[in-house]
Amino acid sequence: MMRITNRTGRGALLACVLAACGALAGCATVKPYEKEHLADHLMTNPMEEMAAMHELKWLEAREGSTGGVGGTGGGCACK
Amino acid sequence: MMERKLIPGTLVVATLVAVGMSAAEPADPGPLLMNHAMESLSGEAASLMDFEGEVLVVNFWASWCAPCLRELPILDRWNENWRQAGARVVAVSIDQKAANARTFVAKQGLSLTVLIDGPDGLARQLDLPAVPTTYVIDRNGRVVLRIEGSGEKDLEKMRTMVESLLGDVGRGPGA
Repeated sequence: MMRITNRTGRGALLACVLAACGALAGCATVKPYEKEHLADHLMTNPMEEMAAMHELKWLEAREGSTGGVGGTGGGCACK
Repeated sequence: MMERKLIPGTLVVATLVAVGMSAAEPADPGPLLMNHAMESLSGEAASLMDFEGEVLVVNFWASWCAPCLRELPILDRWNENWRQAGARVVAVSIDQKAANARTFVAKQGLSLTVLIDGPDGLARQLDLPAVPTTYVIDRNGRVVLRIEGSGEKDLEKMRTMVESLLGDVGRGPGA
């Protein structure tokens, strides 16, 4: 019975060590000089641009101010 | 009981190993900066030793770094003013693709010395804390100032330091 407990304990220890190693390996920090790919234009989220466009659309419709921010149109929000 | 003592010990050792493996900047990066082999824009072997005896402003930059692109034209102007007095700005590109650096330099018509090193050269060995990072090296090859970023105050500090080093001409090493 004692031997089984020891084996279980060793297994738990091994699992802990492996988990610790895995966790430490996963904590990779991107250094400033490694950010070339992150700085690429492709990494920008196009959804933000689309969301801004939609926000402008409903804002202009609500305020009746189409063209007020530099676009063209007659203020009917039908552009 | 034994295992209970071992687990924290193992975690401490693993943490120390992980921390120890990360790159650390040497106490005086001067010799490393001076002797590191790089490439010129035309692809020839070059190092800062080629400019030994001059006051050097070594600026690490990349074509993907917006503050660097704003800073380089300023450094280019200062380089022109300092050249006669014995100081030189060396812009070290850490771009992965040297062609990007070449394109930017040609587009801007920069006249300062540009060397190509990539992200795995000095940048990694010095573990640069920011891009851009600029080192000011005196005539004896010692780093006297390191500036992270390109704030106006930092640039002014750099200019003052270079001009004070140029004013020290004739006082000899260690003055």
